[in-house]
Amino acid sequence: MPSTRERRFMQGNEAVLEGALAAGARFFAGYPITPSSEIAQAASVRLPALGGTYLQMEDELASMAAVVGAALAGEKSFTATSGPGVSLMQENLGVAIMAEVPCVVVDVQRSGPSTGLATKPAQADTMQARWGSHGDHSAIVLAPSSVQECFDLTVRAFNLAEQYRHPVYLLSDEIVGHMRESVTLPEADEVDIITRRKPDVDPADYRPHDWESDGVTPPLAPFGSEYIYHANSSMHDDTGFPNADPENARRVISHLHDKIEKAVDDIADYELVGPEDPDVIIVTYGCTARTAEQLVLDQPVNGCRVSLLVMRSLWPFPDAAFAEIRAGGIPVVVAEMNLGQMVREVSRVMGPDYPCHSLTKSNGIPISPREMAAFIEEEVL
Amino acid sequence: MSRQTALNKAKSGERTEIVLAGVGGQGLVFIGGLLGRAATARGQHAVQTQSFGVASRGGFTKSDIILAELPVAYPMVTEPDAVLALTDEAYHRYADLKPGALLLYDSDNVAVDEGAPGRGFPFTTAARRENLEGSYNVLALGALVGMTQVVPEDAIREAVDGPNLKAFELGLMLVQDERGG
Repeated sequence: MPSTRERRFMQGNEAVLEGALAAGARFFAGYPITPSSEIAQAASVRLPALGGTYLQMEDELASMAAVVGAALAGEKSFTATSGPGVSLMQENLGVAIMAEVPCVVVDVQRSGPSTGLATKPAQADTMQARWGSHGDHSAIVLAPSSVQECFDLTVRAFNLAEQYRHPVYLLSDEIVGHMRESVTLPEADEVDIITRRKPDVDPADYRPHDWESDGVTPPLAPFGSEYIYHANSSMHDDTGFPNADPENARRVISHLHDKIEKAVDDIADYELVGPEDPDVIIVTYGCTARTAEQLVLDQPVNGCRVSLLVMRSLWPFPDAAFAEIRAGGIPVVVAEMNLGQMVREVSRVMGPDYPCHSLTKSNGIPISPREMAAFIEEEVL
Repeated sequence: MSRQTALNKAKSGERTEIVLAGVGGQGLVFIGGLLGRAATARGQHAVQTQSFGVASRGGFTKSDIILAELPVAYPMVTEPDAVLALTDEAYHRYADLKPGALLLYDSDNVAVDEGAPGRGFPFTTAARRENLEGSYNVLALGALVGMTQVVPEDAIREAVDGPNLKAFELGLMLVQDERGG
């Protein structure tokens, strides 16, 4: 953990690791893959030094399984991967969703499909992070656009994981992950950490999924303690044991969905930057937010006032962020390094007649400020 | 400082864009990191990005560094103020720079006609003569810092030692007649 507020020149991936350590993470299991490997590399050095565990697994399926297991044993656990690795993790990510196991998955996005344009940047896992694992569920996904945010949002990812007993994605990308920037990390006592609640009931009375009588997030007992219970990937009741009753299934699935969707106001993190009376608002996240920031600096762009809505949380989708924009009728441009994933969600909120433009790029090269400015001139003005 | 405050304070154009280009294995990302650390230590804002192919050794590689007094928005170089080109390919990729920009190259590796743009120095020969091949990259950085003064020379001196420090001084010496300041 950083002990001074010294300014440092640090890589995004390194800042993720620092954030994880500051949040109290002491277990990493993974299989190195560019552009995420620096996280594993740093974890392999730093975690053992802190009494934690670094496990290099045989593949990403096993990595995610180990992360879930370590979390159930009481550790704050995480993994880091990219493209093909994220796909392999979906099955055991689903286990974490169903069994309500807090953990963090860092996806430093690269171009796909499959091994794709290794290892160029992309933002095309936006929907996979939401829907990659099968079945009805919600998702908590944070997206950093700077090295500082790599630290800050990793801390928050661990906190949200504990708060909602849910696997949380940190959706980074090759540019943000490999970029080095001047940052100032907070001191250890300046970082707010949510610590896992442990049960204090008699072990015979412990029900790991009793969210109805004990708040949204019931305490989670560490495996190996006197609390013996069932962590179940199949449909279960509040004891964790199988229960195929349709009414129970409806109740559980609704809970897994609602515990996050109904907390959107708590989870949502976005910022509108730029002039208060813009002619256009660029909606974006991750590396592409840096392009939009440049336009905000350079304005007016072609005589046009540009603001930026930077989304630091992608899911649950913050509908409220767009309500005020919609009321003002200001055209929006949703810019992303994919063929148009987030724009669908923005369009859903804005409605079919709203001027909502989609600026996409999917060739491994970031959207430049010049391209963004040209798009505004040609498509919006 | 919130992003809004930072953006309000920052002004466009007040950034120095540097490209370090060559071939994988030359240590371009390393010297980019030295520049970034030196600038950060002196209170500047620095951003470094890099681009390399699947094979990081042997293919065209570059590292972009942007230095500014205030936080940097777009992290990629769009119009370099200075380019360090350590291979022929790197030189020719950047031969057409904006007026006033510096194209500094290793004349041992780059074949150019008379009157071609840029300023060449024999980095490879100089490093070999002093038995500093392992610090070739830092020698070239010395020449770049000497000619541009993008960071104070002392800021790099504080960040290196041993052969790297020797190589840095040698790079400065090589360009001493054209040293900026």
